[in-house]
Amino acid sequence: MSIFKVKHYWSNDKLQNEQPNEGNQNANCLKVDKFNSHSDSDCILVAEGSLLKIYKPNLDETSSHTLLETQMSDVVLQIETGKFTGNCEDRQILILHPQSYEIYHLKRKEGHMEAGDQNYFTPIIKHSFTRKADSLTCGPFGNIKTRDFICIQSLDGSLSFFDQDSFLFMCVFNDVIIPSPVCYIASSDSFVICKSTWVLEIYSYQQLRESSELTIRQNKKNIPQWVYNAGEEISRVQVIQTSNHFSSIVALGERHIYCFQDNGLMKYMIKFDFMPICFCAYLIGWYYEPGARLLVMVTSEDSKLYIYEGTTLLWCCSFLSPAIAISRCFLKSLPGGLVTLSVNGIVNVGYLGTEPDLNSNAPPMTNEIIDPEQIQKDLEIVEASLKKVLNNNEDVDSGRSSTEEILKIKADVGKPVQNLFQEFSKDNNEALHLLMCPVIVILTCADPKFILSVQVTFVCALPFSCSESTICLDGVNGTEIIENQVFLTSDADVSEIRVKILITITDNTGRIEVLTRKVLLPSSLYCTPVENDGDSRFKLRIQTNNPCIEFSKIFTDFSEDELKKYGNTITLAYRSTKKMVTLKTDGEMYLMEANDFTDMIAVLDHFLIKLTDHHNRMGVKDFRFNIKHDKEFTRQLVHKFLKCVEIHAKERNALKELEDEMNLLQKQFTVVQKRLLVQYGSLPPGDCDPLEFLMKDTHARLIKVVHEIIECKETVCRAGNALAAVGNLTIYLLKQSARDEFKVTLIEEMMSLSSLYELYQEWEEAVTQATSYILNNVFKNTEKDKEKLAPVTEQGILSHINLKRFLKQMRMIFDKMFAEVFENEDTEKDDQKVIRIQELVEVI
Amino acid sequence: MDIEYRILNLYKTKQFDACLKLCETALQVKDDRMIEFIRMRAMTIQAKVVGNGYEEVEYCPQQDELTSTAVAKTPRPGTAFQRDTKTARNINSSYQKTATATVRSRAGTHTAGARSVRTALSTASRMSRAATALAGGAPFTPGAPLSLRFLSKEDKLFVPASKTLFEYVFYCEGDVRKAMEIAFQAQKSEDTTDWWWNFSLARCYYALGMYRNTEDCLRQALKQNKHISIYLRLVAMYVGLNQPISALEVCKQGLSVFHGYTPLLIEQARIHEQMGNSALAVKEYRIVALEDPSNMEAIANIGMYNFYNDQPEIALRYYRRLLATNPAGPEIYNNLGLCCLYCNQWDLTIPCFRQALYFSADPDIRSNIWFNLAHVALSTGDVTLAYRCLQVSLAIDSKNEASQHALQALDARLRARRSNIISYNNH
Repeated sequence: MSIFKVKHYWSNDKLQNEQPNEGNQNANCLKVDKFNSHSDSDCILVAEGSLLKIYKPNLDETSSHTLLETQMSDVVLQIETGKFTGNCEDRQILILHPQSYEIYHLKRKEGHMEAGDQNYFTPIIKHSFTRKADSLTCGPFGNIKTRDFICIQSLDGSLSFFDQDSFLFMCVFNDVIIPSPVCYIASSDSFVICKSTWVLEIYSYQQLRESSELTIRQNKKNIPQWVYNAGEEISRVQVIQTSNHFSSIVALGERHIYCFQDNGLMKYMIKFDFMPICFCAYLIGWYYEPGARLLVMVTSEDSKLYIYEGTTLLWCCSFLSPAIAISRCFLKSLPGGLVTLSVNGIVNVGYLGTEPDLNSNAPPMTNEIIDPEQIQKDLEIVEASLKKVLNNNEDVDSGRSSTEEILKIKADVGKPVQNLFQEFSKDNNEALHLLMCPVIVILTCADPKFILSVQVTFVCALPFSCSESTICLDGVNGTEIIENQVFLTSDADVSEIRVKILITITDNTGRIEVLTRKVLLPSSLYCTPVENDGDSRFKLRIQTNNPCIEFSKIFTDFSEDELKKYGNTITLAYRSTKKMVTLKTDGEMYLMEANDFTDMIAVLDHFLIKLTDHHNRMGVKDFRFNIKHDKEFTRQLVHKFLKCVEIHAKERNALKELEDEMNLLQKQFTVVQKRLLVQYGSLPPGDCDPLEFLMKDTHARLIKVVHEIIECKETVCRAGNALAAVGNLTIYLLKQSARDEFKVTLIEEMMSLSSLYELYQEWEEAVTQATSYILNNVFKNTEKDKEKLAPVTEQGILSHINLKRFLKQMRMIFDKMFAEVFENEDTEKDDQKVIRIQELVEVI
Repeated sequence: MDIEYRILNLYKTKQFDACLKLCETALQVKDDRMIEFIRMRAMTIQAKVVGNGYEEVEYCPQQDELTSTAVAKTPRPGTAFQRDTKTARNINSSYQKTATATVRSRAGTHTAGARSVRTALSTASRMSRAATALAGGAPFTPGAPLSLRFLSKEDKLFVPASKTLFEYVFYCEGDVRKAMEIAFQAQKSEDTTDWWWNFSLARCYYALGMYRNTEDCLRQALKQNKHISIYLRLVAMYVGLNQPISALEVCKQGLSVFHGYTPLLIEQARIHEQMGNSALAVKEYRIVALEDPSNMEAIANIGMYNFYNDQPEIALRYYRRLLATNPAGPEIYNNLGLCCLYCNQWDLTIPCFRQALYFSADPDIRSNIWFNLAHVALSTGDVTLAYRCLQVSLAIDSKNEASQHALQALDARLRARRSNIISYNNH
């Protein structure tokens, strides 16, 4: 980049008529030379299409700058000057047309006073040929000093040689697809030919002449003098004599410029970081002087000019318009001018100068005068509004009615029905799929225009599944009824018997509101009454302040007859796990028995809800119940819970190991595949059998691991469910008995059992943080304990040591909670005693 | 004027968009091999420009997990690029330190910006995207043009056409595998060994992330021809592999062939800089600036070096030169602002930053500028302003770690001061 621009001297832009015709301007159609008739300064020859113009720029406004403007018979492809006939003193002009070339002489006729001078062309030679031409090069081929020969490259790459108007011979190359530049090197009497193989080949004239005959006789290979493999398309070549014996060849590629001596020695190479368009190499001084400097001007696509000497950048400036051809000129009033040709045929003459025009597009920096008081006021306003937003004080649309009023939601479950539609893939799970239970959501909206869209999401914990988890509605018009099926899908423990329905409503202002409904699943969906078979390990007593009710009135999901035969003792078996829970009545007491804690929660939950419900329906006021459990029970419960956590963690570890293994195998598989690809493509094809074997083996192992992972995932989910079941039970008990509700809520939030959801099983990670907080802040752990139990940060939560600490923390929390419960009970008794005493006192 | 001449003119003067359009119309009328090839070349060059195919050195180190082509994961100390990120963590102990440390990286954003201009598309997939990104060109219909597609390797045209074909497939179609096939075939059918095919195979392997094969191919190509592109590719590959010592070795070899050659010198300087050897890097940047005074990366780096060498006045002069010669951007004004700050040119500091904000569009840069403004505010003693600046910085880009830490530290300091005042009042 540079701060300099090319200084403007002269331009023909005013003489140019505006008719943009893409592709009309050929880059070879710019030539600067001096003629005898105008010996005081260089003339610029330009052709655009078939129009040829000769300019002689000067600063004089009054005199004409155009020497000649003539319409040629055909399109001009290239203009060259030289001595093409032996008997002429002046430089002649050679004009190449697609199928002919013409040689002219520029003459000047002195005019009368007013008319001025008249310039005109006298044609000397015209010659036609059949092959369509692309470009030409001329020079004293074969070291003939008297005149220049002509070499024309046709579009197919063949070279035809002419002397004046006679055809000499032709060379055909079959490795040219797009014609590339050809140039003659006078000092070594050879030609630079660029091929479509992106190789620069140098043939001597002699060789070409012989080869032309060879091609007719036999197909013998013609070996060039020397070659250079540039590896990119050469767009321009220029040869310039730099010393008495040597010339330099400068070749421009796509991004490089190469400079060779004519014997093949590379002088230098420059890599550009711009796209070069054209270049012009020139000599400062004379070639026979030892101190001559070879300079190269390169123009870039973004209309910049770079001048290099060797690899050093001497000067850099920008053009006023992009140039496709560049040359030097020596004018009367401007020695060493710069001639550029632009795409639309405009010729600019300029020179280099140093008058920096500093970056004009950068706006000037000014220090505005500001009123500090005004700024302060603005700031205060901004801060005040910020505060409002942050504190959420300002409800933007407090005046409007809430969404809940607009949209009425009713959710319900129906009776489980036989699943007749689904095909059973797995025989062993047949019993699970038999029943399905419709869950129905009814949305009623009186004013549909307030609601943009509604999304209903059903969330149910394993082993339940929904037929459709999400349903989207574009607006509610009147009443919408959404029916969804819930059924059992796996043999995990039942931990949650409610289906959570999330309704996300976007109203017409774009505000989003989420409403939640929960529906209770009927017990007949997940369990069946069976015969009792003996005692169970764990017992839970539920004491009420009303006499016991028949079970058939509570478990209304089953038919009365079905339950009648069991009388006061009813045993329910889960459909999923086949485990059993027994309920008994005993006066005002219900007794619940089960072999495992995991089985209790679902039936207990259901039972208590129904029980309360029943009493409400009967109009019994002030119904209360109390779950009785002893210390041993809670000890066992906590123990079981921790056991569940441990199992869950263990399974997750196993899963992780499997996943790691799969990762490894998959990487291995990819690498083997890649190697194999290389082997297939290599020269000669390598032995692929071992690799193929390896690939197949890896594939087999991959499949095996994937199956294992699927199984393991199921196991993890089951373990998670067991964990959730026991956890829910624990919290249920805590809720019933503990006094400090806030603490219980905290614990419940900490446990976040609902976060165990299908494949999302990262429960331990979620809980660890909360546990530390609860221990440190709620239970006021000592510093020592804090340190001892803090998870080791550099290891994962599931690592052995962290898991141990985690379990210990959990145990501490529950121990403390239950201890408080029992303390409470004790103190309650004390309280009662005190009250009695008080009563006594009052009586007295 | 015949259409083929117009196409040739457009192609030779590198007006590819118009050229492609004309080719399209010409090919509808008749089948012409030359026009077809010109079209292919024009599309290739455009795709190459879009996909940075001309840049031998790419700046996204390939971090493909799957490429496990046997590269040691833990380099020996001192042989890898080391980024000292650890210091940024100890914010509580030294606020000042982090402030300057981040200022450093900010001042560096200028060069980073210069680089990101040419950030390369690193993988084959991205290369293929470059092919689809041929915006403005002729409608790209994949698979349309090639009678060549069915060119058999026995055809006598195959050898001259193969390079064009390879580049077309590699850049326009982005099909590395097919390109490799062409390369293999061409190598088979050509009787002389051609460095270019080795070089191109290396490009393919690099795109596939197979560094070892890349290295082999490049080394082989280097035996056949000492082309500058090979050296640059080799350097880029070693940098990508995080082996700066080998890269420097290649630079040295290249410089022994091409004396004082700027692209190699710049690579060397970049490597030195990344390895934390900035004094050496600056020496090389100076050589580059002498050889190619228009190289803005070199100048920006020299300026940055001076800035951290406690010579903000000199850095200011370098940055002003950059401002004069380059299109104005947020980074440069930001750096100028910082220089002004340290040169005690208070009147210019804020306007510079205002300009920087005016030019910045990227939230990342905006956030950093606000961070620097907080620094300015702190150095004038205006803690409230600093606080606000940091808040703005975070509001623009909440992930700006430097601002987070600074805000935290500032908060702590304010709290400490407040408690001091309270305790003082209590006394």
